[in-house]
Amino acid sequence: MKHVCPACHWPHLKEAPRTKSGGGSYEICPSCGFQPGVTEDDDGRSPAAWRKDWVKRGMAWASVGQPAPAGWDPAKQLKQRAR
Amino acid sequence: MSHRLLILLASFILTIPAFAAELVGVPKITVVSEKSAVVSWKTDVETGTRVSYGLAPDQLTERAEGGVTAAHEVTLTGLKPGARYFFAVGTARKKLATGEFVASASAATAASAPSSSPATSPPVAPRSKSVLAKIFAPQATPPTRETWGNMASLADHFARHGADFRAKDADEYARMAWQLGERSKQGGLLVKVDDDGTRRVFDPKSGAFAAYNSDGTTKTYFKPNSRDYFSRQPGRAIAVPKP
Repeated sequence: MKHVCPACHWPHLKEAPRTKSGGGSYEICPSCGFQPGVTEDDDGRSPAAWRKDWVKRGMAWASVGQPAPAGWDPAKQLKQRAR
Repeated sequence: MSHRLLILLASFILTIPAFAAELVGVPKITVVSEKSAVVSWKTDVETGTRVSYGLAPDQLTERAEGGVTAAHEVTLTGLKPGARYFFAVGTARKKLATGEFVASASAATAASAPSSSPATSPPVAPRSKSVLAKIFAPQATPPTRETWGNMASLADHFARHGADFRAKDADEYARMAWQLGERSKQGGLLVKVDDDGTRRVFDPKSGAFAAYNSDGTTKTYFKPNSRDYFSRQPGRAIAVPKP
């Protein structure tokens, strides 16, 4: 089962961003770089704030280890509602 | 010999593949005095000699080196009496084992002068050679693919957090994370276990935090900026007694 990034709505996270107890998954989103459990809990930046900065930076693919899928469209992805 | 031949010969020497040395037996630590110790170990082939050591497992900033040999022996000097030291033995390129010891005057005198008080009678180097090795845990670190949970994400975790530990590459970063998890099983660190089996570990001394999946593989490893980060993490605190 895939999960959606709360910041950029990347729909292919391997884990739910938050566990039932509220803990972060620590999975770094390859699309925008948001890291549940760190970006919010340590850096104090909400998904909305992170998203705003990501858009401001031009919505660049964040991962250095995983290539962006062919035809990846961040603007289209962002319009998808997180389920 | 022509210059061209010299260059060719040098190129050949530089490209000879290095044989992977293996540790033979268990390294030994002999405390010579409260400020110095000798580390010795053997390898199956001749290799360079290096001991990296420091006061935290992720800060092995001190080095002591020796020659190319199969029977290695290095003296560590300038130790802080009573301090716990972490170290790694191996070569400049490869760490073969890691461990820790306490630079202890009392332990150093235990074999030679048990009735003397270290405070009033500091050990004399020539007669104080006693094996301390209070804690030594040679760790054959499993390959990264066995210790890191989501291999596809490792490069991103290393890019973001590797500098926290001065890790030179993703494998070293993953190895350090695994070692913290192993140390957490020996007590002395803060540990929480979440409902889903996630194990969170914090080392107050170094500031290192790691989270592990229920199968023991690493989820992430970094040094939080906020002091109360670990206390805000969910999970049931686990008291791990020291051995």
